[in-house]
Amino acid sequence: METTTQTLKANIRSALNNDRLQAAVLKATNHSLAKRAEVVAELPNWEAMRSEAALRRDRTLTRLDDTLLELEKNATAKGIQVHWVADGEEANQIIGQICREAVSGSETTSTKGEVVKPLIAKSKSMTTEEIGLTPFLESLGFEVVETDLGEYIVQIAGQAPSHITAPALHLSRQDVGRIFVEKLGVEYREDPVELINIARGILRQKFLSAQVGITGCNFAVAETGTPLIVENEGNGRLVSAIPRVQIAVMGIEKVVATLDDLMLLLELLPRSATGQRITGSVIFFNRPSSSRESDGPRELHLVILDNGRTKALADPKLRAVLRCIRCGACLNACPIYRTTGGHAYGWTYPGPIGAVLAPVFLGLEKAKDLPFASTLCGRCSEICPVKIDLHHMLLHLRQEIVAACPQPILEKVMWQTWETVMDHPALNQALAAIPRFLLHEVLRSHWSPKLPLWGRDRSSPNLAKESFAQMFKREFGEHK
Amino acid sequence: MSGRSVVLLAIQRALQEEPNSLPKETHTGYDRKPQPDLTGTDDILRRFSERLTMVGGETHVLSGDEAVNCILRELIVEFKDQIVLLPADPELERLGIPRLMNEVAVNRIQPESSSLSLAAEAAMGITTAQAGIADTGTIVLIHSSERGRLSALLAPVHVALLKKEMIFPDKITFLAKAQQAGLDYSATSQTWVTGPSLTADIEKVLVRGAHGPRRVIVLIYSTDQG
Ligand code: SF4
Repeated sequence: METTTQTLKANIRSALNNDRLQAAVLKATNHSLAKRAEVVAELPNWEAMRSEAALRRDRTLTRLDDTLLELEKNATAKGIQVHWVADGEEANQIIGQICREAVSGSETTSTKGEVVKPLIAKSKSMTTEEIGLTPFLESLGFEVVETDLGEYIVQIAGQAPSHITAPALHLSRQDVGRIFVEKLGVEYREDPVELINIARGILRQKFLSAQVGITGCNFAVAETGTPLIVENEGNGRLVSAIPRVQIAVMGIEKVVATLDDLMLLLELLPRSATGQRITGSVIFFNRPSSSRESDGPRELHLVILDNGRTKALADPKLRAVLRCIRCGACLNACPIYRTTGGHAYGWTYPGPIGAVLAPVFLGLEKAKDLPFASTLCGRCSEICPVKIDLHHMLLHLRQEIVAACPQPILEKVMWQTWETVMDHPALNQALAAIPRFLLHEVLRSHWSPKLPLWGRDRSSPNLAKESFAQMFKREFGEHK
Repeated sequence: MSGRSVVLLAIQRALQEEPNSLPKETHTGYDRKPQPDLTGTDDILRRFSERLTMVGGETHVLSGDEAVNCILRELIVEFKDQIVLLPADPELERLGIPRLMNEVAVNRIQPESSSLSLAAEAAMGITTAQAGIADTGTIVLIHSSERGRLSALLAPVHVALLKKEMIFPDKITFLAKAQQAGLDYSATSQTWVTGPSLTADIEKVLVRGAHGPRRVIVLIYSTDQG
């Protein structure tokens, strides 16, 4: 997706002017929160599970190198080909190369003599969104199809996912109906079942002719060398059953040390993400298929990606963000996300987790507004299944940004004045009389909703006649 | 320098800068007391059925091979003259299912040896499941040359045969016991399936039957062989 983090304010304004978007986002996030609450309530030890998961994720992070090496050793021993890549560019190059080799020598013209692009089927993966894999593969001449129904809808609409686990959450059924009319040339309908049926029919044909399958990787178990994904639609199963070459892409933080760790995370992830006890399928890519197996990938690749994650690892205040299991619960809980939806954030990962990752992945300068798109209410940290202290991280990033990025002179002068005044109680009290007078005597009598910015969205404040300091003095006398 | 050494070096540097951010206190209050082993008991079986039904699956509890044959006949008759996928699984053979299918005159296809486009036309697929997890109503499909992925995946209806004694109370017990029960977790690829495939991608409306089966029917049986 095109990064538009630098126009955050404009993005937000346009989201605020879009009632349809706001209604869709609010409805969907409310629904997810309610479903989550139901299945969380049935586990009396939920809080202890969160703490334990946080601890185990941290333990793995403190020995991330050894854990990844163990994963590599065990995966390689079973015939999985492991590739380490430092950034998105390298990842794309390697994946492009694997795809080229996979299709070399296969038919490229149809019976009518038209060139048929070799087909790659993808199941949902935010990591591949992060590195812009799809446009890259398209530029190499492949047809790349997103097979998750939500992803497919945003792909044909020419949009990006607006939520980590529910890519088309910002669209109403009417929106989807219109997209299908325009892009697929079908009759308008808005019944979700009918719409899903249309997409399923089209995608079924794609699955059958896909030559390479690309999946993400929710976790990879070091002790057994097993990448795995969780999904609901069955598209991940098809992508890993039909093409004879499969590529799974993971960030370095997706590794878990043991199966026991995995089982704990498998309790937390589906409950937090979709309010399910478990997803419709959990697919363990334990090894490539043998020559005697008629389905599954003969060639199985695992791409391990850094792309900025080690910057978070090196920062004591931010390391814990790598615990993230991409459940999307912090998005659903965030009052900003719930109002603006995901696209306003302007890059792959929206919501509180995105606002923490953006300055790390994109650099402070490029993402300097994102940590400010938060009320710091802390709901994100409260809901996070691995107890990431997101709102304190946002606060920390604000400090870093102020220190590192040039601030407007006026703002600097303002804050310095404020600091001086706050340091001197007498000055403070004397000066406080001025705005009180202005607010009370001038503003209130001339209040108008037409007042720029402030007046537009607020009613006039109703101030007490006396300040707290004055009242205190009257009641208790001068403070010695 | 290869990508591998660049990434590893970056990780090692990061860890040196900030070697140990673990809290001193490591007691989280999370402890899993050993549960009594209820694998294969009626209680666990009931729980499995209840949980699977909640997510839209169907179960039948059967005693003996004959009962399995009976119910399968009823299910298959609906698909007369249509394509049914049946892998070359010796357990299905032992239960006499290929013979049964010939009697009912369905068009039996082994996905291992047929074209993909033909297999994709199938109306039903029958497979064994190697284990069940009661807590979530999950069946475990372990893939091998005799038990491919497609029979459980391509058709709108998937019938899975699951031995009663292979139903474990939860994921943890499954993993602990799988090895003892002759299932090698890490040796083969596997899929855990819980109910029909589903999506809620349009306005969070739950639609059962996305890319995979719309109906999942689990036949839980105890064998005549004990
Ligand atoms: S930060 Fe926590 S709540 Fe947000 S996506 Fe990651 S794991 Fe989920």
